[in-house]
Amino acid sequence: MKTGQEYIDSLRQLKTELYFMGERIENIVDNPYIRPHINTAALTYDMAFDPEFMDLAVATSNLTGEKINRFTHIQQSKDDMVKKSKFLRAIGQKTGTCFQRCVGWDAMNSVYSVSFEIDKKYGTNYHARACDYVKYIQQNDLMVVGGMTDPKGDRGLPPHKQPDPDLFVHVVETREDGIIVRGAKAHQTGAANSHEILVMPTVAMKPEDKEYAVSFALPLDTPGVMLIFGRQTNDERKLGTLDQGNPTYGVVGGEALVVFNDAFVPWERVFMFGETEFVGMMVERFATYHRQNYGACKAGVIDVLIGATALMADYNGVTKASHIKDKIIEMVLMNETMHASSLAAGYESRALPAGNYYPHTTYANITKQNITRYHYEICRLAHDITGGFIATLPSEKDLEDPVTGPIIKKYFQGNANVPAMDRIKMGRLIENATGGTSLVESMHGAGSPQAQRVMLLRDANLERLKELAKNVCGIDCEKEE
Amino acid sequence: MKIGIKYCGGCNPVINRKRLVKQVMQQLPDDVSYEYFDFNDCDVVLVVNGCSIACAEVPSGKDIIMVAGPTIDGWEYPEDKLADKVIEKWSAR
Repeated sequence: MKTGQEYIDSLRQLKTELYFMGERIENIVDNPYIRPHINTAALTYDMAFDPEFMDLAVATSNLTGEKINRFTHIQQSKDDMVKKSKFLRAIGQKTGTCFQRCVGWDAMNSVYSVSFEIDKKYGTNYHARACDYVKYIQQNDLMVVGGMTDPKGDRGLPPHKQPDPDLFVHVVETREDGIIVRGAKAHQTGAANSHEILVMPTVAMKPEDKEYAVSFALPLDTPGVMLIFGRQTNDERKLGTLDQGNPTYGVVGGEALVVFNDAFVPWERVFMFGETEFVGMMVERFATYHRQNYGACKAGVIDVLIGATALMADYNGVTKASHIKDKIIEMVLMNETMHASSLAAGYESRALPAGNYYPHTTYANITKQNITRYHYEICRLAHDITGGFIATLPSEKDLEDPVTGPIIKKYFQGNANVPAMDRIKMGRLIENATGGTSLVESMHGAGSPQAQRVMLLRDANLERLKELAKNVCGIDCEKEE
Repeated sequence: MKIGIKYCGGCNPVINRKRLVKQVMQQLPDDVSYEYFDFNDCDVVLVVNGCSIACAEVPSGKDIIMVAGPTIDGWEYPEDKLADKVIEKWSAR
């Protein structure tokens, strides 16, 4: 296993082609726009060596029998699926933001399972390749970005009918030693500071989409792979400290567009090619694994937000007001509901044919659906309790200024027992944690809300529920034994 | 004497686990040593769970003092008394 420092050192060895704000970024590690996301990921490495967290942070590989960072683990039991949820909450409580590594973790579990089932039908050897790949990731403790979301172009058209054929990742050439791929993956959390990308298709496909039915892995510094790092709300504040709100770990995970400009993939890193009937399965596997997470990582992040809001109530001198207590109760209620459904998805998980465990699909989808609502509502309550000053606070430069600084501290003083700077810092944390990028991520990460609703309806088995109602009313139907 | 310190994974602790262990250490004799990883040579293992679910993997075949949130062996105490109670348990051995 790597420590956080070893992880950061390993990033310095990469030659990832990354662009941001109109220029090529040669030194990604020390770039102030990216560094907070690196610090967050580094913590996931350090926690595996911390006695306070290693019970969750370390797992035993089913492939090698070695101790590994849990973020590289293939889920072996219900206990693993519960520990996943608990581990993510623990990290969220320490960072107050996204720590990025769960995407690749879920991608590995999805590819591991689906490759097994493709092999059973076609006699291919994808699963052995997937196992070798996972072993490589585990033994080198690498960070993998899970590449699912294509740009998709016209959402009403399948991949092969898009006017621009590159709007879904596809194979443009088949060679004796591998394939050449072209296209892009959007919203790739943690891509700037990952070692590898594990690509999966993004929508169910028909036989006409064969060239798009492809899953593969590549180092992110492979020739032909380029990244364009995305802007965040308020991201120029990363050039300072206090105004960031969460200066060490930042906001969300740092997303990028990952482009494949005719990149070469050797066969040993191809885990699906052309088996269109398995694409829907792979998409669903990844989505379900990932949706469970949102009631875990976000629960930890929201724990920090609830704490910050309760502190603001103290700093504002309104802790005893009954409506403040009631609003904080509401925040706790929503947060624990989300975590409970994430845990339920783990406790009710099941073994797949490949042997790895898979969350309960309904509970995982409920978890994510609730996040798309509750996170917004929790942020609304945080704004309500905190007050409007988080939207009008002067900058940290004005705070440092000898003329304006003392005046700001005088007029932003709340409870006299609390330094004005503490109130300002907490206000900045709440401002940054509750706006723009972080909320949109909760809405669309792991799939937009309608995607969860489709799965909820499919799994609800309405016909059986109708029969139950008929039975209760005595309406003629086949009686249950 | 060697005491093992085994933490749960800390997903959502309701007590400050690290502070509790520090308070226990302050009350134990100076010649006591501590082990966090390999409990084979430990005389006693203090298992520190952050909440009453007590999900920490407990080392087998060892003399255990079990903290689970605000409880020790199922009995509830104020958090600021937990260290004293751990010392009582340890002294009784």
